[in-house]
Amino acid sequence: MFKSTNLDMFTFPFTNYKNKTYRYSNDLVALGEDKVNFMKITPEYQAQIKRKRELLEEQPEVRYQSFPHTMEMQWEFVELIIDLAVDKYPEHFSIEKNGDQWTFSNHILGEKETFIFGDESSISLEPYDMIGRHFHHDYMLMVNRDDNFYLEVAQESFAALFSPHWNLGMSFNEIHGPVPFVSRDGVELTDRIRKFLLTIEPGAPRTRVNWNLMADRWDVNYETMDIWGPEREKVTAENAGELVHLRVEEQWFVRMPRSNAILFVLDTQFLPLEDLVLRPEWLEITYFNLADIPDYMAEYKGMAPFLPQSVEYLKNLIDSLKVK
Amino acid sequence: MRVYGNIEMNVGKIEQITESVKRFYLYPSDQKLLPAFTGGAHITTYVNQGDKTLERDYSLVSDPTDRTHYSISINRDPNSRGGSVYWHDHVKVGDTVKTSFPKNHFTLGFHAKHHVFYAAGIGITPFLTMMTELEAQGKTFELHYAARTKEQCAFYDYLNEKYPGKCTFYFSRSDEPVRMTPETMKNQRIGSHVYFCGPVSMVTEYKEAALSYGYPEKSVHFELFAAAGGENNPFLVEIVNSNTVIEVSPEQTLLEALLDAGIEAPYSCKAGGCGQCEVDVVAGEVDHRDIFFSDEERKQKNMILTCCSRAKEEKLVLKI
Amino acid sequence: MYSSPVLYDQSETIKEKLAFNDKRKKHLIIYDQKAVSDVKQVLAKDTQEELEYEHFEIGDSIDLQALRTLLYSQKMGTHLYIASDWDHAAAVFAEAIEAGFTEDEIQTIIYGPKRRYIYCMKCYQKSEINYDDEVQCTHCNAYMEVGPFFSKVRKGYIGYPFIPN
Repeated sequence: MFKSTNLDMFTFPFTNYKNKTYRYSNDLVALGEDKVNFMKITPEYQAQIKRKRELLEEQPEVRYQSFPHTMEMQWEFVELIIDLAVDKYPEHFSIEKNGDQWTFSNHILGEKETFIFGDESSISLEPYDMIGRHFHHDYMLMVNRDDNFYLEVAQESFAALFSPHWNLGMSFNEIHGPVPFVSRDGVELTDRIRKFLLTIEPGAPRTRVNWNLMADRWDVNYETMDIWGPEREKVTAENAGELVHLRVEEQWFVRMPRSNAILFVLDTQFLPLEDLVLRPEWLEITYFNLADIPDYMAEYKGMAPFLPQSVEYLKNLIDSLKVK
Repeated sequence: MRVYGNIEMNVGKIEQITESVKRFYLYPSDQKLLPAFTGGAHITTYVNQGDKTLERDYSLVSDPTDRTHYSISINRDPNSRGGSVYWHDHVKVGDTVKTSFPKNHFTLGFHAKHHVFYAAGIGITPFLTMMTELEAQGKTFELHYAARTKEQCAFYDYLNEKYPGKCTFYFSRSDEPVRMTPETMKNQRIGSHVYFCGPVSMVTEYKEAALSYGYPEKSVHFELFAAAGGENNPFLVEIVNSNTVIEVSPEQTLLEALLDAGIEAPYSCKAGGCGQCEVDVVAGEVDHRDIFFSDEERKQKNMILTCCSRAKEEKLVLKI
Repeated sequence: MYSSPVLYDQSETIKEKLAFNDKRKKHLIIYDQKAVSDVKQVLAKDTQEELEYEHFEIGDSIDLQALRTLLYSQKMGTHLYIASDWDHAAAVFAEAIEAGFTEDEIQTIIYGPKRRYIYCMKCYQKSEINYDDEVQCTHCNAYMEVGPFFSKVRKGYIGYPFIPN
């Protein structure tokens, strides 16, 4: 398990909320030009890449899925990822293009990928999988077909009730399907978000921040529910500071013009509750928010079995700071 | 690779392809590769006309995988809002214009077994790239294309040469005039999708015909040149979630009034054809002028497409 | 196509009884021996002169070649009605989708029980199930709760693994 150590790079999720409380809403925000590049190299980069690659090696079926017809889309993704990385971190990444002969260098890891752009027979992995292994994000390609979005390629290492294997080929509505998903004023959101995704155009990416709590787990996927399900019960008000992590997903939505798809990028970050003391204002806001989570949302987010203990831990922590 | 904003382009070449149609070739000023796109895509173009910026959407007619340039074909229409006339009369080789990234609200039906295109006049443009894609994928299609005369039929030679046997032309002002009719939709095999592009009256006629022949709505696709007209009344709009009231003048669309007031209302085609500017209506009766929603959908949920629809009475209450 | 519809127990095409869709110009009815008397009754009662009707009777087994010829020769504006037991319906449904019918153009009337499947998230295999909330995988014996999500690609409901107390 890793955690964010540079708090200036941690995306604290509870910033823009009315009345200090959190509800689902259609809160995708347009991005300014300086925020579009989602590449981010944190002190945890190497640990995360190591872990991501282990998962992809050990459980390829679970962690990476694609349809054979997606190759051209995969190359569009490769080009985007490389250009963004080189643009933001020229000291860490570089690309040499001789016609279709490309060499991508990752200077942090001391690695080179040489391939013929557009020719998947020139590499051993699929293009999307190959380039995705150099960056810590999870990447989902949701292709716009008719009036919905279908998951056609996914590489994932930090699942929150998601599985590339299971969700492959499902539409946006099928993925969110039968679960109640309600906004602050009680509106059913799945279809509204689908319609909103349809308005995301090339050249105008969007972002949003999602969060959750996790009990001593890196990821909670469907495949390991039998294991993490019961583990959530071991959280107490005493150990919550160490076991429970604030899990933040910073999400980007980028319309890919040739694929006519939305590339869904997830930057997943973790902060143990005990580290909130490093930023006392975060500690207080987090406590207010968690204390106010309605039951249905706690159930939906899978945090119901350990939410009360976590809230109690935070309350005790705040009280102890006040005493000092 | 480009991810953000608009693209600055140089007009590299202009071709007169019929008496009233010009084809403009646009090259990126920074000489970097442009995004490839999909069949049916268009760009929004921004051209400076004095201190005003003309914002117009045009279908791309260049090859979707050619990333060195984009091209668009514009019919000079003196009866339209003035964009096409300005492009024809004032835009010269060497000029700089801005364009959006390619967008696509007129995509090919993914599950279609056969594609049938109906174009009226310059409505041919989105079908050119759709046919390029289908040909590359080895899928079946046919084109029905109406123009006044052979001479005024843009891309006539190109289409005949590239897709022999797949195109039927209808010339209404030739010696033996032939009118294009929706009847040819009746005999299409199961799994066919139909696509219409042309003036509002043509699209409306073909859409109604397709539904009357028993086509399911999802197999019917269309793109419009411009929103349908009508008396433009002034009215008030109240936005409940931001507690503002805005006046919409007869010269403005509701969307323009919202944007002018600094409200981030969604939009795209501005012609009532894409559905992207849908907003929830809390109170007030809507004069629906789009052809995007079916009557059934209008009955089911209370919404308005702000780019073309207006209030029936003097006030609407919206939630954005 | 991966996103093509499949017949499953909650398919939007399933109706209690045959009712002609008045938007279409032609009605194609495919039925087996279990449905034969119902279909004949409806046809005798509800047909309209200006519309076209065609039917195809399934005997002991489906004549696949004849079925395909029939489906592929249909024109737009045709509505398909499948009235049969589950296995016949599933076979005809898949052929009809392949021929170009969409879910909006198909009505399915099932005689007898519907089949349901669960997709085990432990071993990624499919087992047939009834309407119990909890089941055991027939391949790896994992205990599973039957989830609400259905995948057309995996052709089953999600099976959430759990360890019984």
